Amino acid sequence: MPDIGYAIVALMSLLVFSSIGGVFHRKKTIQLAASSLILVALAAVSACALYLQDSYSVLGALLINPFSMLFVLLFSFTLLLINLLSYDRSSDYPSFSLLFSFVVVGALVVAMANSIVTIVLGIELTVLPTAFMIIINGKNFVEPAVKLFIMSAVSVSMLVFAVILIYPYDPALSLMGYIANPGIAGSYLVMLSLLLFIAGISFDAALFPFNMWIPDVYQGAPANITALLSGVNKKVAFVAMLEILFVLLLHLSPIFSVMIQALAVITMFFGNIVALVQNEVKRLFAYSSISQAGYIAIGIAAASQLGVESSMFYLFAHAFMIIGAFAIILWLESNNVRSIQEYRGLASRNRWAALCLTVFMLSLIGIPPFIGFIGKFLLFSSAISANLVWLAAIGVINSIISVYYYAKVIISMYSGIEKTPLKMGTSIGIVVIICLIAVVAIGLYPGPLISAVSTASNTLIAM
Amino acid sequence: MLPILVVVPLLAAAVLALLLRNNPEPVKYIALLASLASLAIVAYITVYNPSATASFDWFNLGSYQFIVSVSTASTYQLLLLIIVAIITPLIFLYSIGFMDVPSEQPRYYFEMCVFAASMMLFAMSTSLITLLIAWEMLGITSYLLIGFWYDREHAPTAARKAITTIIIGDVALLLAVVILATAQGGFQYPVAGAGTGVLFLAGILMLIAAFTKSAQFPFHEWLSDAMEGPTPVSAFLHSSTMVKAGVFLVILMLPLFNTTYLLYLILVVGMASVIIGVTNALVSRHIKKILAYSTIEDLGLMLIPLAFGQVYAALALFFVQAFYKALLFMSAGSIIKANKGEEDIFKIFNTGQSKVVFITALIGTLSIAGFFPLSGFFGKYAVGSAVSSNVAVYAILVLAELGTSVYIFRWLFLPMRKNPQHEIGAGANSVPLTMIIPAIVLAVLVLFAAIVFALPHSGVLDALVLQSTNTTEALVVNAVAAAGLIIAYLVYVKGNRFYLSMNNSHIFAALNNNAITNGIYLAICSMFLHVGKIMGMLDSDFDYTTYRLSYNIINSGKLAKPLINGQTNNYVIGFVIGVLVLAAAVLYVVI
Repeated sequence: MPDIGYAIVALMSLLVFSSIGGVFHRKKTIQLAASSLILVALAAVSACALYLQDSYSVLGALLINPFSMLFVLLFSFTLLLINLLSYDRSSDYPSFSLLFSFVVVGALVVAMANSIVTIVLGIELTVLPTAFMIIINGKNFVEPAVKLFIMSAVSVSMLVFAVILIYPYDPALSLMGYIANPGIAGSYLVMLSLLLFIAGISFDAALFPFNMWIPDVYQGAPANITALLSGVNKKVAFVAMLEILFVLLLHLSPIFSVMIQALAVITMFFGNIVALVQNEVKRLFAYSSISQAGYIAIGIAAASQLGVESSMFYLFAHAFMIIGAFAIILWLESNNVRSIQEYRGLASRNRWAALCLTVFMLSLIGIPPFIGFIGKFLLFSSAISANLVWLAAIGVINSIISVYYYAKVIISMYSGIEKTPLKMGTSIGIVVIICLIAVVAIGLYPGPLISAVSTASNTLIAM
Repeated sequence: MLPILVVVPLLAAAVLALLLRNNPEPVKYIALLASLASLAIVAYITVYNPSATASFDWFNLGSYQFIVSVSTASTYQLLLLIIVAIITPLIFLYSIGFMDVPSEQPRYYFEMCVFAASMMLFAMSTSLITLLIAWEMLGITSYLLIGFWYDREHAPTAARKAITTIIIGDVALLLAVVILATAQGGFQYPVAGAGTGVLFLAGILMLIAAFTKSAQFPFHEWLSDAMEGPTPVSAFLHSSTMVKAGVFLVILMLPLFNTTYLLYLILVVGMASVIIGVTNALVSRHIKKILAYSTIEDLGLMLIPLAFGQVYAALALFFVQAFYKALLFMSAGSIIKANKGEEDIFKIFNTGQSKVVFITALIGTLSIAGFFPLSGFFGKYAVGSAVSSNVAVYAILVLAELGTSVYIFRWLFLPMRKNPQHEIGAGANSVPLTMIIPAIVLAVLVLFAAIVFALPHSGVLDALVLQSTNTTEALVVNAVAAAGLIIAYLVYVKGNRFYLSMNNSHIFAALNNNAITNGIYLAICSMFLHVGKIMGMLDSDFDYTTYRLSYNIINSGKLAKPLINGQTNNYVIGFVIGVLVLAAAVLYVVI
């Protein structure tokens, strides 16, 4: 049923056009309703295609298969949540909405890409508008926006250079070229191109040392953009990494697997150890988000089907945990509650918010029965089954280290009593509840998601 | 889907109990109805569809399938399910009379319903995953129920003691399940266990789990303390749920223990528990603790034939014990209720005045002592004949049965003493009808349950078979019981003064205060204390090391902090350095 593929393209264009219209009529509520509806429709269509397990190509550039549909579902769903979060937070919602629609298109294009150029374009399309989304909030936000812009320029130059290097060997720039022509494996230029890919994508995937911009930008940007960066952009980068690298990891030199292992280890330690001394909760979560990227990289480094499945599962898990957490942080930020000291007594001010944040943090640590536990369980078992026991051990050690700073926040929230209650807005409340349901429900019954990622990984491997 | 339906009414009742927190009046009836519904479903399964199964794919991970599955196909499991389903409504009915404080009821029935449901789930589970879930649920709810009256002096301590012991078993079971799943490549029950290597370890861990749950030596201490819970809980816990789960785990995992050493371990632990149970029951003054020690003995008696591979003998006692122990606890509860909470058998008098309570208690005691034709006799007889080939074990069993008979009649006779000064108060009349009826039902069951051994063996009755008929052994059981009755009569009824003078003698001193067993505990405890001291010394070093380590880790965070100094050019430099390092790595490999 090829119609479904065209429906996705049509919905994407519809979203962009409606946002352009929104800039002129400037009716916030209508714009929110329109973009949310389109995102819901996108999610529904992709879920339908995922269910049907279709596999074909649309317009010769976009692939419809279980892998792409799974991530179209994830992206449209998480973007929907971020859209809801941004409604109250943005001073200029229609402009935000226009930029946001580009991000949506970029993310979905990466998910469905069938060539390297499409992937690079998609990544660029998600990162650049994000920089502008930061800057439209006012003068105070110039600095993080410019940092993001400069760093993304560096990264995209790497990516483009990588594409150029590969062109002589694979003029179609399709992902299949590598496999079709195994002779190119040993070429220096191809190796160079691949490592530039790793570097360029690691910028967005937050792998050390390409991630140094992250704490500044995460902290400087409004929390809804931080949620976007951490909940969607990072996932987009990992999807690109899965698409480009995974196929190659299986077929090319093992050095790339070793490279990813090294990046995973350094990133986990860097994120967790620096987070230990952070005092501001948003910055703390920025570092924690870095360390989580390290965990996801474990599954890619394992270079096996189980590894890909676990990485994909953890992408889902992390998206829900981090968006939920940032939603609460966003709400507290707008009430001038920022540092760990100011979180004191939060449980007495709004016990449901404190409870939800605690659940998200426990899930990030990897405590059962939440989704994070299943995700980490899968990741570590994939490492073990790929004979990387030491990598799993380092992952566990890092989880233990992370308990310290998460517990600091939890203890602070549940000690002391503050009189003034805090009330949460409806849209943020909805986002938090959806994330909470996802974190608990998938944690208790991960069966369907695991079987979905396993179908998706089959497509990826068959590619 | 049929088996899973069994637990649905109870879980629904549990939820309702929570919802009706502020309006507790109907909760007790809802719980009773739910338990009756469960009983009806179990009856339907037994009659029409004895091999019903239900399974639910939780999630799959590689080759491991985490399946939650239940089934009543195994006759053993169906038997346990039936026992639980019969006892539950009786306990709930009894609770209506016993738990007469309205504000306590929602919490009580919530915990009881979950407790009963988890035992039923345990009975039906056919995968190690389901087993583990049910096992944990049993542990947690039993902790809540033992500490139910958390405002009383000893209840929290008792509950803590119980949960500490039980968690040892939980961890052991979890490890055993992991080992088994890895060795077998799945979560099914072991069918043929080679007792070597890791499976031997899994067997030991399984046994530790079983011993903690069944309160067997050396993990038996929590059970007598668990008397701090409400009496219906004790009656439930000792007859069909919780402690029976341990023995049943041994039955389920029997292929795993098919090595000499493990069977020997089961035998030794069973014997030790029997001896500990009998000696303590002989000297305890607490009307419920005597029964608790008696339970430890009963469970030991069930383990002993298992060590000889005689499952049927164990099951026979397993079956009859549920009824007489529930009956005895209900009688104890009624006596306590009639005496306004007095639990010392030396301070309770005139219980003979309430004819119904007395007669039901008498039936229970005659049954546990082993008089023909009450059902208890068949259990004792089956166990005895299963081990009669081994003279030493048999001799100890006979002695233990003599002890059983003595202590249980002591338990009956002492509260019966007439004391005109002692007002029984509202006494006999204050025991409500809801507490009398279940006792009568159980008394009838105790009287006639033995009929099942005579019925043709089909369906669930396959599990209840008497392997042999040996008149001599049957006579021995009766003779020993009679001897115990006579001794108890002479000592505690006729020889009141003799008994009191004996109070100061050396023999009694040896038994009293559990000198011997206490000595053993003390030795074990002091051993652990010594280990603890050594650990303590190590610990202070360890503390210092971990402190330094964590201090350094946190400080290293401070060291890494200047790396992120807000300077974008530094970040670009970092980026470029990263690319160069990666390039160097590739070059190193290629060249």
